[in-house]
Amino acid sequence: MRSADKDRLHDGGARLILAALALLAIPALAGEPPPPSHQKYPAPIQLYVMNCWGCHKPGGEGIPGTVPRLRDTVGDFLHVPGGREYLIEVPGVAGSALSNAEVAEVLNWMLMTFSKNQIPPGFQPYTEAEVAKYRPRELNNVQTVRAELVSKLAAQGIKLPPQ
Amino acid sequence: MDGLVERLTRSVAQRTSRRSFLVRLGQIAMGGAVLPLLPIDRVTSKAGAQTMQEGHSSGGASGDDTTCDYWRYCAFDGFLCTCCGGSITECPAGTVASPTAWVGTCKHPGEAKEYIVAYRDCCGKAQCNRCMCDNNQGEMPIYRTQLNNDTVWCFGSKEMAYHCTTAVILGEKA
Repeated sequence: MRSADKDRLHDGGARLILAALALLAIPALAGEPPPPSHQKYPAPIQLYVMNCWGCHKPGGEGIPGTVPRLRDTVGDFLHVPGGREYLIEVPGVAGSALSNAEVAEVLNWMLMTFSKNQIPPGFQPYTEAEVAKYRPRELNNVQTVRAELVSKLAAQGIKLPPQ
Repeated sequence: MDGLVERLTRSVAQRTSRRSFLVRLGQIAMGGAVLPLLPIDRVTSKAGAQTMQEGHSSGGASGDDTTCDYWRYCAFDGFLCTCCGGSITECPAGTVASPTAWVGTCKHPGEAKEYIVAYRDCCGKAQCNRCMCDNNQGEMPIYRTQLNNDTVWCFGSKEMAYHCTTAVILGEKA
């Protein structure tokens, strides 16, 4: 919890003058300006923006050492046994506020958008039923499971960036 | 004559401070700033505001982004960067924007629309302590970290010291 507000009143002529000049500089104090026009996102993008974007970043680039990268990476997991389920079981997905259908939708969108080149041939999109099946197996040891998958991928000659 | 001038100067110096001149000047300047604001036609000026760009929103009773009831702060918890030397979209000097942000939606009062808003903390300096704002619409408990705003969202940043929070519109909710 952050501490309470402690607005302090400053006295002194110099500050008053600065404040007054600052007021003069504001053009109108003109009521509520409408928000700038923004695009509406199609459903899967909106799911990503509202649930994943804050940490995985706009382009799925992640934060090295803190948040896993999705771009040019996430599709690699589909090449090894356990990898497909892993993408449902990771805490950020399994513990998200999304429905199973929404998880399937946003996972498919992420794979196609960020990692199309890594998706193996014959890839079948995730379904709601598949998410429902694997989601309860949320991982408590995500780092260990990831490390195992990464070493299986390395054995196939697929090298993932750290984290 | 010299003595008279000296006595007069000394008495003025004893009765007034150097600041009093600045105060007087400030009052004059303040009056000049406030007077033109008094009778204002908000309907016409609203039309002019249509062209305003993101990050240049200005005040008025219903749209002052330095107050907690500004619509974009509906899920805000922290100090408003607009009171801390930054703006609603930019961190104050000496702080860095966290690479992570938590995302919520807020309804615009003038339109029947909801907008997606990213609350991004500015990190790297002790807390600002001005304009504390604790709304929390749609916030989830701490064990749902992704949707909790009590957490300091500086993680991923080199600096974990929290200073203030910005509120950037990401888009319109479909």
